[in-house]
Amino acid sequence: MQTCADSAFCTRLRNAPGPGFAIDPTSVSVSGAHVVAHLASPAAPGATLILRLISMGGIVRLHINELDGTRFEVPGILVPSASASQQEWTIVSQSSSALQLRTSSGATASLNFSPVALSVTASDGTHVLTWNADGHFAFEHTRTKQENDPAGWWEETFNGHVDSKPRGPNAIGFDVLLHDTQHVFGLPERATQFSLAPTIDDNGTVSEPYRLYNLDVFEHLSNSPFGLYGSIPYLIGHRSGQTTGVFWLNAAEMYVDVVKSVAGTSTRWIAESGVLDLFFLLGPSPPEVARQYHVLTGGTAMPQLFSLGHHQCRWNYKDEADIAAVDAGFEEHALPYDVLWLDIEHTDGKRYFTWDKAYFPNPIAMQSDLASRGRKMVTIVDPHIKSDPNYRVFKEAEEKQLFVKTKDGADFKGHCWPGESAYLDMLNPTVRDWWADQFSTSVYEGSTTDLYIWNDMNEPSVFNGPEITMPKDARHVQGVEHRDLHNANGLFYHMATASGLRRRGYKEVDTVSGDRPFVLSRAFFSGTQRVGPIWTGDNAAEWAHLEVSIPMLLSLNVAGLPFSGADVGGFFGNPEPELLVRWYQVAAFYPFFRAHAHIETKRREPWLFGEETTGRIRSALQQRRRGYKEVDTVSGDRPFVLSRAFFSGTQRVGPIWTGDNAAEWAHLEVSIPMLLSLNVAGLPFSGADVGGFFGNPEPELLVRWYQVAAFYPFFRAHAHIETKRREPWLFGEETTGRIRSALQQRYRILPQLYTLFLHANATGAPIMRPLWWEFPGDALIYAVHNAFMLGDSQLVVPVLRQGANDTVVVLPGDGLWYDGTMGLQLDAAAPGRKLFRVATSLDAPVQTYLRGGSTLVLRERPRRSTRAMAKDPLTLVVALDRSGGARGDLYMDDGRSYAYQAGEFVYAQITMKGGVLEWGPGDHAQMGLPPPAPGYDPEVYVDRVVVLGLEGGPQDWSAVAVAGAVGPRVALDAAPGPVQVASEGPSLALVVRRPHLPVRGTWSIEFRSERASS
Amino acid sequence: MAVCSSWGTAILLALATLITPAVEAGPDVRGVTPDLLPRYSIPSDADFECLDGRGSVPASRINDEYCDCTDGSDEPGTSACPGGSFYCANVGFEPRTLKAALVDDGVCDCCDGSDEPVGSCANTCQARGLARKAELAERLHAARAGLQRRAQYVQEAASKLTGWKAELARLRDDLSRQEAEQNAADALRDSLQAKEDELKAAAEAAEKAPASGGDTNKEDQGSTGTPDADQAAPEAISADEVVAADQVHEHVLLPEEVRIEVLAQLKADLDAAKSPLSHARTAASAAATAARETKKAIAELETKLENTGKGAYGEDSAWAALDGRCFSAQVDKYTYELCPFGAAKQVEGSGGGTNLGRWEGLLDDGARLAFQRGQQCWNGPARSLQATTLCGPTERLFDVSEPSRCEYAARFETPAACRAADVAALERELARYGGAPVHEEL
Repeated sequence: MQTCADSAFCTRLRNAPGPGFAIDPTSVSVSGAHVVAHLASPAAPGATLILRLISMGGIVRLHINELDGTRFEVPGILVPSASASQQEWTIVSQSSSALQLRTSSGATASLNFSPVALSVTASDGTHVLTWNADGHFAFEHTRTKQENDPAGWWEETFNGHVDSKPRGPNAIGFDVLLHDTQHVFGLPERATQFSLAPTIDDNGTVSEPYRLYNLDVFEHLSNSPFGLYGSIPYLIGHRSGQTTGVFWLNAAEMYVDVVKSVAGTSTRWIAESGVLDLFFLLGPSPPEVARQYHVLTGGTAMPQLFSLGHHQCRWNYKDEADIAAVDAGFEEHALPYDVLWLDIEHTDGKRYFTWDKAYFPNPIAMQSDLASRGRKMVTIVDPHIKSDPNYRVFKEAEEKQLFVKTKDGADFKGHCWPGESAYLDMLNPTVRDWWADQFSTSVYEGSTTDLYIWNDMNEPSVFNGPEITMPKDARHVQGVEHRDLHNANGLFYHMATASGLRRRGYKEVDTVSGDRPFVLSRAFFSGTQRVGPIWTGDNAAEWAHLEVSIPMLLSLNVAGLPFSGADVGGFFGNPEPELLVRWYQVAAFYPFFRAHAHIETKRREPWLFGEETTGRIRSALQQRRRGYKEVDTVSGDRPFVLSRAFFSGTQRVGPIWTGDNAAEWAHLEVSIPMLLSLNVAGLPFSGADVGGFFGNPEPELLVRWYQVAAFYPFFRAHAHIETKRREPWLFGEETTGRIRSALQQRYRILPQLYTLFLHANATGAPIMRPLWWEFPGDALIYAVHNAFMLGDSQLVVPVLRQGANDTVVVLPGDGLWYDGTMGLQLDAAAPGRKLFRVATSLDAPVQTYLRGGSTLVLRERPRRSTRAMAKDPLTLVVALDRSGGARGDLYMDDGRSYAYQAGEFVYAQITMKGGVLEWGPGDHAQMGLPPPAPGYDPEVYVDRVVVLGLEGGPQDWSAVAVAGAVGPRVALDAAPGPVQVASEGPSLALVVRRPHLPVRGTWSIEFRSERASS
Repeated sequence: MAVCSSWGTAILLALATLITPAVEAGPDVRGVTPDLLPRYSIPSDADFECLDGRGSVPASRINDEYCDCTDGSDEPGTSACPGGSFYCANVGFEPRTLKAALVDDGVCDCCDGSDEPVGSCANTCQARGLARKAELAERLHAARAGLQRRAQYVQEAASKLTGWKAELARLRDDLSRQEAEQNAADALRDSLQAKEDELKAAAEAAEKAPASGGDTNKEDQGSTGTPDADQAAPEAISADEVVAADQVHEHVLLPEEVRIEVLAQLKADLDAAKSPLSHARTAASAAATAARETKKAIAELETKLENTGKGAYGEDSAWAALDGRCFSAQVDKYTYELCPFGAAKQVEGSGGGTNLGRWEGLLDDGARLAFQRGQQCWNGPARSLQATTLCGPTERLFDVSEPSRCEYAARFETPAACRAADVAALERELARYGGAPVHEEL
């Protein structure tokens, strides 16, 4: 694979200082949230750059482009609302050599003019970062080709692949110093340690920089800085009191060096093309940095609950009988799972959207059978389209000219699984729209609404391309070169697929048993409502007709015929734009909504009256979509699309997995730093394939992997076609039992996991969190990556080594902890308790520790799937801190649709203080939720409360439930018991037996010590 | 706040249920096996003793959706206990005991629907019972036919064994005869060989004897002057080398005519000896081969007989009837051929086929047939095949598949897999459905 030294732009910029750009003081202007200035350098004649410095609350955006340049900027990565967070700068001082400004959050930005540099200090005056501290800023401007231009400017060859570079050298480089910071994280994806090691050490010894270039890396190593399938150009630095993010919005090939010194960590960034669009996320706390990244790129999409269950995959389950047998195996051995997957072999010759009829003659029956037990199926749909004129998808895409082109304008063809293939140009919204339509169950033959999608190979993988991907000089829509968007290619593809599934949900209510009829009638009678809609007939383009449409429709509605409407715009005559807009606005609320016009009228499609009118009508149409379809509880399922490639923003679309790992202990171990990197980089819905894709895991490795993966946000077992079968029951009863325990552990924690997804959705918070995320002041644990926090309440300490019979546990912070199985209290501040060794066996569950001061909501019934547990009662575990307090929350909804956006959810805040446990509605607005709908009740109850850490032990306590704020009081049954229901563990907790308190409501439990009163 | 107060009411109702009298624990306690019902038939104010004896709970806590007993026995009819189980009677079909987690989970697991709330599942037990009865009758019919045929296999196997023993005795006789023949043939060959060696030595000596009056080939050539003579006396032999150690103790000069004559005579003798020697060699070799083959056949038979003693042919050695037979199945473009006690292979079209494994043995009393160490897979294991056996009236190979790469699986129906106990079990099972209690007359 390519190294920096093999790459002309990386070599040029890594090995030379920047040309010393300086701001022309006369060009500087400050207006609102924007500072604008021009940059030039005597060492770079011909380059005039425009710099914009934008304040966005806790974010400072630095944007540099050529003054008259036409460089590519990646569309659709920032969420539309990002610009709304712009805040006015306050000028602190301005001179001919510098400009000092203050953000609304109190940080100071100092722009030095010559050489150009930007320093940011926190509101308390401490240095946060300096951009161009080391003078690495370089910006290769657009130029015309000269005879004596150096090699590598206009053409480059690697491994026999020639890259034409029609725009010449266009690279950008700079450095960012994170002051007093020794640990930097993020920059996925690579299989390496979590705290990024320096690439240039104290002695100046240089190793490979971290590369960001999405590639299909075959049999990747378990410890290498080399970039893998996805890229997020976002790095997080952390020190006590200050967490800082650096995000470069640029999708071209990129390299990052990490250099550590006493001053802090200098990060040096180089990209091949695009613009400099840099966001400094000033924190200062980890959750604030996450929120800032969330403001820019959005939150994790709320997943369907089933997708948080256990997924079973293999390349390949061979036929319908195989699928039935694997499903039966899970049933027979009481192993919970939610989804069975089909890899590429299920298709007819790797033509996606088709089935190999010899092996899958009845795909709908197969899916329906799984669905009857609440399970789902996933098929793979890859981005390479087999070049075959008899293949509908190819033929249609070719005719419509939807493929990526070569530099010479022909359809680009590369090799992948099906042989010669073409690649859809997903940068083009028209192509994405067409692609989304392919997922309609009426188009995708043999699919049902219980079928979801897996996008593999979307880097894209091109077997005969340079580095197994697409040539950089391939052309997308409007002549954009592939080099400019390569790292976002997979995201665009993923987005298009997900919108296809979303669209599927809206379009089709019942595709299995046939569409419902639609017949419009003009005449009607009593009973017409049973047949279909009517319209009010031939009206006219007059205001009076618009007005009368409402009483007419009200009459019909009260007369039992609500499905009715009036022709928008009026049938006869020509409406003026104002009337037309008003009519659309009203008609958005008609039950039946149709625009119609007489043959003798002028054309009146919404776009024929100018952009303003079009926009107004669009808003009216969107109004209808929001009010009527956006929250569709019947068929509006959330998409589930797994992707391998990713970019900033992928979190809005769906999960990713870490690609083709191997059945080796080192791969199990590195999965944790890899997933932590993704989690802190805003992409928490991720997992590594359980067992390792390549090779055959021994039973011990497999068991350990399942135990860890029970805590991965995305939990899938997968295996290569050349491996031995490894379904959990194939290694003897002992191994089956151990894997069953791990799976059951997963299903136990789903209420908590789902709540953590709400946090990721609303605030960008990671789900698997590095210890420092929760304990930012504990310098001992900054580099820990063999343990992690699941949310804010559970410390997970997995066993990652072969033959281990003990584990080292580090308790972060200095508070109280409780071991997750027994409830034994541990004090991190006590001698010998911060760091200790604990015995473990393969039969023991993964060591978890509950954080004192937090709560944990569990489901203790070991069900077969997520659907089966939808109504199960909850167990609330309350782990008290030194002061006897605890806090937590719980989120529930239908786990499937968008009804939560219309208030159909429960968000509860849980607080324990002074011996009183309070449960009540949480701050929904804080979680980005609308007010809860009064009628919604999930009919779920808290039936077990477990309190750990009561003063003097769990003996002799009484509990009284109080409904509402001051409602009736009922004595509860409270006695010492084990943490897990009906287990034989010691009675270290106070257990309240079956209080039967609804999740939706306000209640409290008062605990009283009988000892104190006696 | 309206929401709070309405929820306060709901909670009041929810809490009120806590103080309602306990359900009377009658004989119809949900999910209890009939033999344990007495344990649950207790007065509502009595205590229920957990079945594992590790504690007791008030009767009101039976099936109250909260798990109290560590063995889950207080919740036989709910899903509350992680380790609990649920009994469904499935009248008309067969009773079943489920994991408690399958109770009230939205999936009808019991055919009588008793694992789900009333009204959620159709009772399909009668239909399933009828289908099962028909299936059992069919299986029983096949099993009886198979068992009868198996008896023939046992006889066949016995006669095969007798045959093998007789064959072994015959082969051993053959072997001693063949060994005698081989000894005789070897002796004859050796004596003829010795004679030929003598003649060869003499001929060599004669040829090498120097001619009188000359000591060079040139003179020799000059005197005869013909190319024929040149050929008759190979030029590689020079006159001064003609010395036969066992005949000529010193350099003797023979007159040329005499030398040629002696040489001719020796050559004639040699030629005469050659044919009998050649025949003797062939005869000796043939005798050795015959003896070797007999030995090999003896070893094979001995192994077979020895293995038979160790049960390689299963109970009553019934499987021996299949030794030497092959069975095939067509799956897509492949023909699979399985020869018990031989090998398994996969053939595509008219090709030679791929070896899927050599015979490994009967596993688990004939429950499976194993073939191992077949052709090596590229970058993978050696191919292997395991066939699960089923009782049937005749041999049938089917469901051949490759669940893991290069590891094949198949099902193989044969009378050899039939057992009287299984037939009896089928009869008992069928009797439960009121079917054919008496033996069919065969």
